[in-house]
Amino acid sequence: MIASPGLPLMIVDDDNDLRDTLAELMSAVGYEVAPFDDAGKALAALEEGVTPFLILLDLMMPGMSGWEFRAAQLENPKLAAIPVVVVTAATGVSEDRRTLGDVAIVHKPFALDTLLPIVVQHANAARLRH
Amino acid sequence: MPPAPRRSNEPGVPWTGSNPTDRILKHLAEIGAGRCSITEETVVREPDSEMRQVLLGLLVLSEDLNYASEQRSESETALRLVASERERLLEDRRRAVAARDEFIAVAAHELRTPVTTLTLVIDHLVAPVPKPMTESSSVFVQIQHLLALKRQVDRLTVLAGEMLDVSRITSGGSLGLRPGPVDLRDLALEVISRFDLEIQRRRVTVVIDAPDSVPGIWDAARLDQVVTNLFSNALKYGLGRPIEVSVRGEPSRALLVVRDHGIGIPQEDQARILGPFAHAVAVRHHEGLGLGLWIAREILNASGGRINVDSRPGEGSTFTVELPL
Repeated sequence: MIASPGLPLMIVDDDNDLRDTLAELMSAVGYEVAPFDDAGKALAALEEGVTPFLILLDLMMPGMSGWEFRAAQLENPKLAAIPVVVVTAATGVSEDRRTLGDVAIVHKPFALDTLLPIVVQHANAARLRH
Repeated sequence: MPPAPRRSNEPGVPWTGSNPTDRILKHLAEIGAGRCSITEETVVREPDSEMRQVLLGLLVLSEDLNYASEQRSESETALRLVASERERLLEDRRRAVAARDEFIAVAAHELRTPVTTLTLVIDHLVAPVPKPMTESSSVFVQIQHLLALKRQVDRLTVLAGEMLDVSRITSGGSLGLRPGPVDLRDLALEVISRFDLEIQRRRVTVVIDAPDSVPGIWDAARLDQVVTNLFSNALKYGLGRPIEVSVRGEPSRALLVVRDHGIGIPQEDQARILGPFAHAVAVRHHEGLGLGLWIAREILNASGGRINVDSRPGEGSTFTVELPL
């Protein structure tokens, strides 16, 4: 059962096609989406009060990387609890995952069937919280 | 073994040492220490003929030893050179393998992203996501999806082409140029027109200075690849500032210049970006394999032309392509 938690799903990925496709699919599913092509801008939005129920985070991005974004997020007590799912095409992320903290990792390429249950689970958890 | 020296009892023989055995032992000790106390003169002056034979024998032995020792030291020097050359080659090889591994990782990364988009769009087309939206079935949306698919296929095609070019170049094979009549100006204009949407999206001004046609005999498809690479780099790294493209024919050469006013390239990286696996080290965050410029250089070399870069960080880059006419 898909139900919007009343909070947006944040998508941070510099790849225009992938970000647009994810945003379109997730909004078709029924979620409000907050897509960002730049981790710095996404972090600024969080600091300004955007409260997503989940962040889908790419790692390899120009400017601020996903790792840097996650580090900054964890340093800010107001933002640290927002769940993150790392969506990456990078290999060897598993070894670095300690620096990412408690995140799920979805490896590209993935099918919608892989990602959607994770997003739904987080949306449901967020709905129960609110 | 030298013959046992004989103690001479003959009167008037000028023994210079105590007894012959001691003298021979002393000479041997000197020779053993890498010196030689015997000279030709010592031998000539020796009155005792047997002793003269012994001294001559020792002198020859000492010279042979010296020669052997020089030979050994030369061999050791040669061996050291070989060893350090071997170390250098191994280090080169290690670096090449590391660069190739990095390249494979970058290539895999670059391939996965469009494949993800392809997978998602196809999933959606095959079985639309749970909540049906009225507009998701519209022809317009379907066309958008198909265009997104086409873009991913194009990206994968370019990546596969680059990887194929890499293996052609690194295996020493030819790029298989097929020269024919081409107008460099028309070719440049056509490449730029292909970027129309991108130029509009980024609101970039493109200034083209190509007053005359510049006909020559080159491989049109390969030149297209070169110009496409230079122009897409100018868009990618140009920070949205104006891009200038000029095409000119001179008596013996054709010149194409692409200039942007973007991030530029540090001096120390300018040679590297024309080499293989440029992105592997510093600029891996930018899309692509980082091989476009290297492939462009190889294409131009094979065409009898060349490419130069002139750039300052923060001021932009100018790429000049020179082709023989």
